[in-house]
Amino acid sequence: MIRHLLTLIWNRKQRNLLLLLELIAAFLILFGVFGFVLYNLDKYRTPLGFETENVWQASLFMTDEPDSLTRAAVKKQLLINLRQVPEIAAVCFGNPVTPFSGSTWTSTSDDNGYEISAELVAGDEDYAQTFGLNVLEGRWFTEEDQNAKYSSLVINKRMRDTYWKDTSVIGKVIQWNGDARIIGVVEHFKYQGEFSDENNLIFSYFPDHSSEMPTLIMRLKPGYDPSVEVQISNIIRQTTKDWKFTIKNLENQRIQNSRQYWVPIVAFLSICGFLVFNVALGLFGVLVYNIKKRRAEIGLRKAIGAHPSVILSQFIWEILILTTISVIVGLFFAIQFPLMDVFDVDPGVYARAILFSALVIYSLVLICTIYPSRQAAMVLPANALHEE
Amino acid sequence: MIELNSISKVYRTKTVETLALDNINLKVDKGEFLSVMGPSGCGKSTLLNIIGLLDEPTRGDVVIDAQGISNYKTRALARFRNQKLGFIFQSFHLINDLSVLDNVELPLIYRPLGAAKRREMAEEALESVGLKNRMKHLPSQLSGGQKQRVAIARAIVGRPEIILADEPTGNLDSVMGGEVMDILLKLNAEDATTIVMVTHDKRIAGKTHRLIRLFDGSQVN
Repeated sequence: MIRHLLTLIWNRKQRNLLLLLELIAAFLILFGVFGFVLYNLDKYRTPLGFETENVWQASLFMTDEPDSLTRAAVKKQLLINLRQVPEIAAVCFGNPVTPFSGSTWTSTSDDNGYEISAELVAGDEDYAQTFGLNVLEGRWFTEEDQNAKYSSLVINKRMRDTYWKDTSVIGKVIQWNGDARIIGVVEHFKYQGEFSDENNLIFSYFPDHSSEMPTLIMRLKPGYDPSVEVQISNIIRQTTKDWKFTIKNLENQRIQNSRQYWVPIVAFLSICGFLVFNVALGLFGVLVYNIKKRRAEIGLRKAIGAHPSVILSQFIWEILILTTISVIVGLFFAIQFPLMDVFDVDPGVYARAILFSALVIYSLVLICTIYPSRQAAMVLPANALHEE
Repeated sequence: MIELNSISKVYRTKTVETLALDNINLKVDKGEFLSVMGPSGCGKSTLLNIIGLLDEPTRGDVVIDAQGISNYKTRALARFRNQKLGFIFQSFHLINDLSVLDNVELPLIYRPLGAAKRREMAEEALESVGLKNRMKHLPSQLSGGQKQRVAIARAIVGRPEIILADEPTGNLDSVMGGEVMDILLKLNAEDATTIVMVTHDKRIAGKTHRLIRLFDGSQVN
């Protein structure tokens, strides 16, 4: 029977061409949309690695005057004043490379002939606690790191897995702006947002009073009174006097950052849904038309011994074979993306996009085929053979 | 071979009731060549559809090869048609997208037969109608007479005991019609195939063993 259907499909190739093209185009569009969505969702599924709920961030614009010692004293006083606020759970200073700011600082270093590339973030000894970072190995910075023989570094898990997988990195001395010792590994810190790639990352240590650290980060206790926000703003203003500052809520920034990815994802999925609906309508129309045109053939087949279930399965198989041909052709084009490494995307994303596209196409085709095929199976041969 | 007992057929719509066949009693012996004549709309094709199990009578019984068909379910009817009956139509009903060989093979794909056996049987059937040299052709490349010979090959490929022909020469000129008739007569004579043929042509009907006439759904002689 399959051979018979293949012959029939081959001999009707010109009439099937448009249907084939429609299915190939639908498959490729679905592949593109699923690829885009899965690529982003994969990144979204990786934990952010830090807390944003109840976290506030104040960027301080420190004036040049008075001198750096005075600036350091003001910052220390600011921390003291803020720590007296009962609603503040933790507070720290960081450099301008802060979550969702869009700032990145990337550097490379030659470590005894091996090139190490990583993004850089700087924080003080309370940075991990304020952000709720998960330190997997070793420890976070302490004040003792100021006077350590080697500058201290904390790296993220991805960097450990990239350069030193399956080896212990705690205590390892590497060349990074001179000799530097890795003292800890944090699990994740996707500071560029939920949909961003997690790159190799190095945290370097600066004490809280350093002028390299103009960003004040505060984590408030859950369920805090909103009036405390005004209180914090007043403390900063009164302590820093003529310094300008802007305060942002990290959770709001996370939502805004995510929105720029969710909007195209939802838009693409909506367009894709509309397209799939149109393909379904077209397919349904073509199949109903084909069956109308083939009523005499159906009548003949039933007259010479085809059971209605055979007619039903014949029409379903015909469209499934056409779909399989379309998917194979679509696959040929889709597979070029991972083979030629067109985008820096994990091949697994392509594989899943192909799988989901094929599943949607086959489901769509089956749904659209069942009704017309049932109509075909119910054709009365005595009527159909007399219509022509 | 074929026995119709008190067959009536009524077509009903919401407003109209049409009596297509009225109390037909007919017996066709094995190896008999029967022709059915009558004016258009007298019920000839309905009678053939009922004998061919393509339509159900409103009243009465159909017995073919000593088997009462009335209680047959759809699957059994389909199998019965496939094995016992061959159909020839006025408008050939060939599938234009299939080659002559594939068209002839068609009834066999609904039987549990291998591809080689099906092909062998189809070639044999085509040879018997003198069209083996055209088996790779498409129906559109054949004349009307050749198309009907392909349809005959398709009807006989499964070696049925009964052939039902609905105006097989109706679309053909007299020469081609004569050729088709010769094949049917030969089938009847050599293989003892029972043939029931609807025709408008007295000359053609005259070549068969027996002629019955229908008028307004009733048998008139």
